[in-house]
This record gives sequence, C-alpha cells and structure tokens, in this order.
Amino acid sequence: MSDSHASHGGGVKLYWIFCVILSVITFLEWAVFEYREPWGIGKVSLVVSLSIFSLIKFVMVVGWYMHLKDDPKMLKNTFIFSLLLASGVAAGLLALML
Amino acid sequence: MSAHMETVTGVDNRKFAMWSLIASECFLFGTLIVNYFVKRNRGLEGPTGPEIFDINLTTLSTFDLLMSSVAMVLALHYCRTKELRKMQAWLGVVVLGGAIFLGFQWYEFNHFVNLGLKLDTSVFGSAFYMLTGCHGLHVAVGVLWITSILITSLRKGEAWFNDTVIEVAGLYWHFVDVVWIILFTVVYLFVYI
Repeated sequence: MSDSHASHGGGVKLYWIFCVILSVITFLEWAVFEYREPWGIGKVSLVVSLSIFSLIKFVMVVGWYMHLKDDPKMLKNTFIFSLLLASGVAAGLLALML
Repeated sequence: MSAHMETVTGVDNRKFAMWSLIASECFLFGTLIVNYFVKRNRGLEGPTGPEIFDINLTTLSTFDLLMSSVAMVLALHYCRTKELRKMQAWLGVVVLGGAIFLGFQWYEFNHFVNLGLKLDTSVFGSAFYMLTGCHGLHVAVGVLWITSILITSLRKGEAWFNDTVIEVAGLYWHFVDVVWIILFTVVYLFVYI
C-alpha cells in the first residue's frame, strides 16, 4: 500500500471534481427519468442512457474513491474476476427464472 | 502513519480481506437483484413500484450517499496528511450522511407499509424489502463501524492516525455506495420498463 495519497490517484481537488461529476450524473439520471415523455425518450434509449450513467458512476467510485486503479494487480483481479463471475451467475439465474 | 507488516502478497492482509468480502458481496447482491428483477411484475396483490415509488426522494437519498462517499475519501486523505480535526470532521460527515440515508429508508418503508405494501403482501414486496433492506443493513453496519473509528480517534487524538483502518472501512463504505448506484437504477429508474 502506498503511503502517498497523490500516488493513489488522489488529491483533494480531484475528489471534488469527481464529486461534481457524480452529482451532475445523478441529476441527469433524475432528469432523463422525469422528463422521458416530454423529451421523447423511448424505452430502449432510457435503459441505455441510464445504464451508461450508472456504469460511469460505478467506474468512478471503484476506480478512484476505492483507489482500485492504483492497487496491485492481485486486488484488481480479485474484484474484477468476482464481479464477472457474479454477473455470469446473475445472467444464468435470470435466464432460468424469466 | 500506521506500520505496515510485510506480507507474502505484498498487500496488507486487512485490505485483502476486505476486497475478498467485497468480492463475495457481489454474488449476494447479484442474486438479490436478479430475484427482484424477476419477481417485480409477478403477483397482482398490493401496490406496485410505479404506484408508490417517489423518485425525487430516492434521488435525494442517492445524492446523500454519494456525498458521504466523498467525505470518506477526504477523511482518508486527511488521515494520511495527519490533519486530525479535518479527518474527524469528515468522518463525522460520513456518519451523518449514513444516518440520513437510513432515515430516508425508514421513512420510505413506513410510507410503503401505510400504502399497503408489506413484506408478505406480494412477491414484489418481499423481493423489494429483501434487496433494499439488505442494503440498508449494510449501511447501518457501516455507520456503526465508522462511528467506532471516530470515537477511537476522538479519545486517542494525535496518537491515533491509522490510515489502514480508515482505508479498509472506506472500501466497505464505497462498496455500499456502489451497490446503491446499481439499485437506484435497477430498482427505481427501471420501474416502468
């Protein structure tokens, strides 16, 4: 583990920039959902846009706030492999249950 | 700065343990989300999601949890720079943010029960409460954990700058936030789909 916060991709300024971006994305999620009819957003577009917003937030929090992008490969692999495996199990369950 | 022990992996064992826990939690929440997704439109008893969800309120609680995540990463930063008061203040903000989120959830659950959606009303109700309740329980554990860290820091003052403890608690807290990012989209925003 690195003792330097800077080497962890951090820095207070960066955290606040990410904070603003995360807030804006959350606002956009709300706006896209609330105004889907006036803005003429179809179901497919809604699912795609909300999924992209969610994915961006996920990557930002895991990569920077959890510092995974600067962590040793072993930790990255532990998380990414488990996430992929869990996604596979979830997809399998979904296919079985739907 | 806390002393780091030499390990076989080169990674602090506590940190590795937390990442292992997080890895296993992916399976727990993955299956609960699938369970909810499949059951949400089954059974006609009681109110359904589109009838009772208040997106404005849930967006606020999502924002609150995101801000507590920011506070957590700032607390870790100030622990590493050994700025005691700032670290304690941001840990306090994390605890407050978590408590406010739990307040939102308490209000929401009470509101839904008053509208007729209980755990045993329908499969939608049981899947919804199981998923969001399990997440709420994780938030409650995080609030208690970070409160205990804050109390330890307040009692020991400058003698206690344990960045590994705060980092590991932070990993847990950010994961709880990440799960909510997914739940907010899948449970609340995909409700009409």
